Amino acid sequence: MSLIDTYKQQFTDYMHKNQEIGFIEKVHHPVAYVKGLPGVILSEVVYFESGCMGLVTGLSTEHVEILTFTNDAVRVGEKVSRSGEILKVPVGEGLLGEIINPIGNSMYQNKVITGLEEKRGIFANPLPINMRERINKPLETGVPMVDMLVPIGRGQRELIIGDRNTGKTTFVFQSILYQAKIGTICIYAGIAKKKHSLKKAEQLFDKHGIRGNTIIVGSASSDPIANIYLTPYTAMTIAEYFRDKGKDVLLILDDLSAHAKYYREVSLLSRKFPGRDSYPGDIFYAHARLLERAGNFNINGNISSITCLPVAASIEGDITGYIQTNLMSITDGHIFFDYAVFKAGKRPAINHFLSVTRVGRQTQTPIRWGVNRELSTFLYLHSKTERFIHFGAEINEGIRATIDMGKKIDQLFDQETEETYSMDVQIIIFVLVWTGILKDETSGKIKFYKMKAQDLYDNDESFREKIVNLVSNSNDFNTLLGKVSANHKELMEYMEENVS
Amino acid sequence: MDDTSRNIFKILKTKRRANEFLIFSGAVESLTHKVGGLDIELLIKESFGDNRPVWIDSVLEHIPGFKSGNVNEQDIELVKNIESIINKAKVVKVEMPFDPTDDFIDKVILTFEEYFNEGTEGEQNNIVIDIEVKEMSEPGALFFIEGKFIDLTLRNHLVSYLESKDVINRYL
Repeated sequence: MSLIDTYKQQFTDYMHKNQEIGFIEKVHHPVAYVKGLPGVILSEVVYFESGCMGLVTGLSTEHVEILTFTNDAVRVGEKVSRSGEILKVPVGEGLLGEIINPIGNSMYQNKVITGLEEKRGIFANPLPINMRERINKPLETGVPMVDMLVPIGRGQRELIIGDRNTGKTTFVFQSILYQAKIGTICIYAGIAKKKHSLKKAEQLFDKHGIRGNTIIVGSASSDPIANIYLTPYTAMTIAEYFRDKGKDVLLILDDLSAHAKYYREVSLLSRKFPGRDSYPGDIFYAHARLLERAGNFNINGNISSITCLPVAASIEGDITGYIQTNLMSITDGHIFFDYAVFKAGKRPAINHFLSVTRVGRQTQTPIRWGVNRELSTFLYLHSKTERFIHFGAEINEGIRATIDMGKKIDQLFDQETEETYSMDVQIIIFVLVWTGILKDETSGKIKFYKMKAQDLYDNDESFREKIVNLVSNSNDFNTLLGKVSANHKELMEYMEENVS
Repeated sequence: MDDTSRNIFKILKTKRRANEFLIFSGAVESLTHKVGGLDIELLIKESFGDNRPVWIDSVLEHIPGFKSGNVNEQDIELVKNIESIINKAKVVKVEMPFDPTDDFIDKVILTFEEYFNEGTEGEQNNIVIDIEVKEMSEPGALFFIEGKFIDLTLRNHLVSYLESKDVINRYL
């Protein structure tokens, strides 16, 4: 039975069950205005005679406003029946590894998802403050620049902002690759994406063997607007299910500026009064209500978290747009992908001077805190020095050392799209650079040490033990510097010897 | 509302006739300021072509000015009153497999008028029946009114009857 036939059957069944009916009086596709349905409630699912589903988005004395889940407009005079249920999506462990649409069906036609346990309303309220916990655990992204300079905590909401094609999605995929490998449930919500982009995400997760810990909730730009509008809410609902099971969840909402645009379209068609940039007055509320559902929670004594990384696109590097600033004020910080940095050839193209993390630093160990402090101070000095030498000033020993160290730090941060680095490896390589041990090495050699260290860390138990001991047995950054300096030969020789 | 308006409204009964009346009354009103007499037959021809509405003669009987061609202010007021009743009337949509008789329509109107006017004081609710003939539909009728749905099909009656204990007591 096709989906249309199913919905037609549901229309008849519910009409007889609830004994209520409505007739479409006006259509501003995808919004339909219906007369009748006296008992209908907000967010209730309705079915149309033609075999289409709808969601009640507004009630007035005259009409019921319904958002339709169809690309073809419904017709005036068509009958509508109410289901008596608010919009719910099926959730359960069975969703792991699946790619679904916002209604909860597999994107693969005729594929039935098994292992679903319950249905949950997608517009749930955020948990109250007494069920929330201080964010105290770090969430490593596997991207040294972020982990060292703009650290994120589990339960934090960190906005990823930047122009098109500056590496935002690459960064979120790197975070997923790293987190899914260590057992975090990762949910990627692709909002109004191209279908092949969703497919590519699926293939990437397959390639790295992390499919079992990931879920893709996707809507294509060719899908009905209602599907696009619901995508982040469905993804958040699934995240809440795993949170309630005591698991840590990483949720990516890619991207909320596109979501805002589609919400604006629906709102304008619904004759809602337009505000700034024609966005409806409740756009802040819509996003705040969504993102407030993320956080660090204490559910019956179990601590679990939803770390949310909403993505927002900026235009020509302008981060002062309406939606962008809304999201900045809702989230606990932002990572800014700068086109100027991208053009300078740096990957990831993060402008750490314009990036903010409000709660990530409180999750750091003394060593990471030390790395962060040293690095931030140095990068500020380096940037100042770079500006200074632009004037053709004479370069003395100190300035040269700063410039050289800056180059090495850039090489340390330089990263391929599917590479991720563990925190311990990041710290050790940083210390090797910081102490000047690698100062005479080429960029290729530094890259070799980075990748080799990560490879051995993943596959060689004794190497891993050495690194973990070095980092965990140091009380602060200076102690670590001393220990690495003392052991660097042994470490580097081990890496050289184990070239496969 | 005066009795004449109500009597004319009762002739109309169905949504189709009510819509035809609105077309007719609109045409009459647009000619209010025309110099000379009103040729009502020409107006009917212009409005409906060869499909002369079945209700038109009965309605014209109640409006002398229309019949004589000398339309005065009272006649226009009367037409406006009827338009107002039509616009305020509750619409009962009926889907059935055959074209019902006037008797049937009268009974339906009476039933719903009694239901809606029970216990109400002052202005009474008027009913217009919107009939949709679906020849391929099940025997019986489906009623839709103010968002409520009433299934009076034969199938539904049979199912309810078979599900009742009465059928067991009586036949088994």
